[in-house]
Parts: sequence; C-alpha cells; structure tokens
Amino acid sequence: MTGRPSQSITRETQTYPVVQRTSIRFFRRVTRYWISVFRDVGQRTYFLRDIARGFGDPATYVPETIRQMKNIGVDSVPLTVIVAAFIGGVIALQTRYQLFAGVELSIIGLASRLMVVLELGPLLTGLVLTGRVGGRMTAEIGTMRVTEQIDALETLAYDPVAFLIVPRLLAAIVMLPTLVILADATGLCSAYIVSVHFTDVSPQDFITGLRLGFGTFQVVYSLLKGTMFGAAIALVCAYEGYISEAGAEGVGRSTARAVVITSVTILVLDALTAGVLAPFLQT
Amino acid sequence: MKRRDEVTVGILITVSVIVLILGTLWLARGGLRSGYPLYTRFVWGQNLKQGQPVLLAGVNVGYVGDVTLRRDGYLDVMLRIDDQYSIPKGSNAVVKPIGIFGDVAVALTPPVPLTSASYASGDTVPPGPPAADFNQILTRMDTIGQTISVLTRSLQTQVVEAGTLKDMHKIILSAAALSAQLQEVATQQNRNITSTLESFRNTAGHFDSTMVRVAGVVDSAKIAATLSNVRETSQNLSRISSQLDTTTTQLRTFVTKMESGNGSLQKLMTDTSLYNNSVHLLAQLDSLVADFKKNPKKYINLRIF
Repeated sequence: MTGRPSQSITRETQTYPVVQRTSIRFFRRVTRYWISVFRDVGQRTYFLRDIARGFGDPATYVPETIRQMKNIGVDSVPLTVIVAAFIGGVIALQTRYQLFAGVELSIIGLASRLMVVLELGPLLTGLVLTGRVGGRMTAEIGTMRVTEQIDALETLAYDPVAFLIVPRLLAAIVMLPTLVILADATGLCSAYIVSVHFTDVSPQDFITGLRLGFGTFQVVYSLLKGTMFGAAIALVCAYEGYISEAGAEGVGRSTARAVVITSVTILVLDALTAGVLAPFLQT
Repeated sequence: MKRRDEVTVGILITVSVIVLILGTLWLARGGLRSGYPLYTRFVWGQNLKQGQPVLLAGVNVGYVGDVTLRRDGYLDVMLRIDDQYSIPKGSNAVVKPIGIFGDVAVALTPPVPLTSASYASGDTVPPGPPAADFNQILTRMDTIGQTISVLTRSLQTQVVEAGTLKDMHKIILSAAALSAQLQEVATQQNRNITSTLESFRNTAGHFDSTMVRVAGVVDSAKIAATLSNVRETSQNLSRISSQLDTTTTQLRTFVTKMESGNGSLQKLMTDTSLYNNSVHLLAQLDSLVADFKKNPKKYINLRIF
C-alpha cells in the first residue's frame, strides 16, 4: 500500500529551487508513508465496520457459516492432529533426554502439558491453519474480486461482506478453539505414548507431572489463544483477498502477503497474550 | 451436501467439547468422582488450591474440593474423599510438598494404634503439625551454605594465607622426591634380587642336571642286585656265626673234657716225660745221623753182583 502517489500533490518537486529539493523529497516521502499507513488503518476500520454491519444480516451468513466451518474445521482435523501428535512426541523425547540425573521424571508430564496446552498447541494450530485455511481464504476472495464477482454481489444489493467475510470469521472463531482442543489432547496423548513406551518414564510419573499444578485457567488460556488466532486468520486473510489487485499475480501477491501478515500477527498476539495473561497462570 | 456438512461440523464440535470437559476434569480432579466431604483448617500460606490431591498414608484418596480464605489467618479447606475410602477417626491433616516444583498435597496421617471408627461425611479432620515446606528447606540449605562459607574463609585464612598450603606443597614435593629415591633403591634391589634369583636358578639347573646325570650313572637294577647280595651275605654271615658259636661250644666242651679228663691227650698235654723222651730220642737221632754221615758204610753196604 506504500508508495501510492497522492493526488493532492499539485506542484512537482523539480519546480522548487535546487537547494530545497532534497528536503522536500524527503518530507514528501515520509508524508506519503504515513498517509498510506493511516489509509490502511482507515480501510481496515471500515472493513471492520462492514463486518459488524454484516452481522445484522444472519439470513445471508448463517447458511454459509456451516460450510465454512466444515472447510476450516473438519477438513483441517487430520493436519492438526498430525502436527500436534508429532509436536507432543518430540517435546516428551527432548525433555526426557535433556534431563540431567536426579531430576524427577514427572517433569516430563509437566513440561509436556505446559508446552502443549499453553503454547505450542494453539500456536502451531494457528500457524498451520494460516497456510491451509488463510491462504485458501485469500485466494478464494481475491479471485472473486478480480473476476468481479464481488462487484456483481454489490450490484445485486447483496452484502458481500456478510456473505463472504462474516461466515469465515465466525467459522474461524468457532473452529480454531475446537481444533486447539483436539491438538492439545492429541499432543498430550502423543507425549504420554512416547514417554511411556519409548523412554523409561512410568505412566504414574507422567500422569503425576501432567496433573501437577494444573488450573482450569490454563485451558481457558489455550482456548482464548485459539479464538484470537482464528479471528486473526479470518480478518487478515479475508481482508487481503477482499482488496486484492487485479490479475492472477495480484491474487498470488495478496495470498503471500496474507500468510506473512497473519503469521506475524499470530506471533505478536501470542506474545501479547503471554505478557498480559501469564501472571494469571501462576498457581 | 449441506446436511452432511452440518453433521460433520456438529460431530467435531461435540467431540471437542466432550474432550475439553473430560480432560479438564481429569486433570483437575482425577476424574468425575464426587466423593464425600471432610473439612479441615490450615493457617495461611499453604499454597493450597482446588484439585490438589489428598493422600491417606501416601495413597491418593481424593482431592481438595474448595479453599476458603478466612480473615482470621486460617483457610477452611473442603476435602473430597472417594467413596471407596474411609478415613480412620483420629487421623490428622497436614499440607506437605510434592516433589521440587512447589506443588502440595493434603496428607492424612492415620492414628497409632489404628481405630476401627471412621470419619463421617462432613466431619472435621484436625490439622497436624506442619511439615517442612520448600522455603524452610531452602532456608536451612541457605544456613548450611553460610556455614560452609565461613569454613571456607577460615580455611583461606589458616591454610592459604598463613602459608600452610605452601608448606604442604613443599612436603608433597619432598615426599615425591623421597618416593623417587625409594623407587630408585627399590629398582636397584629388584635388579639384585633378580640377578640372585637368576644365579639360584642356574645353580638349581646345574643341580638338576647333576641329579639327572647321577640318576643315569646309578643303575637301579645293579643297586637292587647288590642289595640282594648284601642281604644274602648277611644271611650267610649269620649262619656262619651260628655255626661258629656251635663249634666254640663244642671246642670248649672238648677242652674242658681234655683238661679235666685222664685220657692220652690230657697226659700228652700235661705229662712232661713224653717231652723228655722225645728230646732224648732226638738226641740219639742226632748222634745217629752224625755217625751215619761219618761212617755211612757202616750202615750201608751196597753190593752189586
């Protein structure tokens, strides 16, 4: 969005005296940058406003929401489960073999639970779904944009945001926590199996550590992260597709940008969540 | 298609919710068990919270159901005990740490001797003497650490700064030198002993060879035959001796008889007249021979034809 020429500039830089041109060029570049930033913020705010307005038209988005829930949630179950299973197993193995002698083996259950439930379960689910769901979302909406299907909806007085964006946002907000639950459970089961069957950790040790210092807020924390990541995926990817530029290249660029921005957004949200809510996790 | 999507989405969400609820309950309380309540009271600062285990003689028999903070410095704690376990009357409750991660459990200690009566639902379990918590252990370790620090400083003063360590170093060096000398002496002695042993070994070898040679020279068969001859000779000597004894006896008897008897032999031995006669006879014989020599024709008158 940066570098777009502003139409408000009327006088060319070359018309100024030579000694002033460099500073004028610098200030104009800075001004253009900040204008583009504020413009992006404004556009996204309008986009959010359109989404909020779209919630008022349930007849448009409810039927589509179920289909999107299936696309985002049900179809992503295998990928999520596979990723979580490997992550849980690797966490258990790494924790076991990094322990020095004398440390209680129950720490493996504790470390597996803390890492899977608090961090890696939601985070990896969000990042994996960014690629699978977010990219698809951007490509779908971007293609509809460049083929003027969205314009056609507007022409037919059909709210494109209520039809395209709101169902995806709702589906992502509902299904991401659902997938996070499955990822957490799968990761812990995988950690248990790997610890008990491939290392010298006894089932009792693992379960003791798994239940050590557990608080229900840890689960809430995990689900909260999943919800935020789902919203981030839907909002960023749908928006990038919605404003996609013309042509296949534009759609591709929007898709790549959506995946990158969403991934960074998820990591930033993860850090913010930890910074804000981690004190409440203390038992 | 739409109906199928709804079913699959519904199944996924239902399964997830069930997993969420059961998993959380299992992690927090160990399952869906309800149990019966018992109550106890602890002072503040026990790090207690809902879901922590309740142990009876080390066995997990329930969990902490609720913790209520009182304003008078105590905590009202509700324990959920599994229905299958009964807590002996007289047991007391203490909060004890589990592991090194700061988690705690409520430990119920049965009385000694064990009573047959048990606490009923809603009874209050008296608190026991508090166990040492992690902070107390750390404090104790800190005290020990300070003591070790003082000892270390004293060692620094007495051993390092006073020069004892240098002296010890010199002693060690002297001991090392002495050890080297002893090693050298031992090596020399070892060399001498080795040579002595070698000489002894050579002597023993020569002795062995000599003995072998002697064994080769002396024929055992000859020795046996010689011994046999000696034995036979001895037997002969014995026999001869016996015969000599007999002969001696006979001779003694003969001599006795000869000496005491009146026979010719006794007279021959004791009567001197025979001797005189014999001397006279010999004198006559001498005169006869002399005469014969002098006058042979007197006695020999040989005529031929």
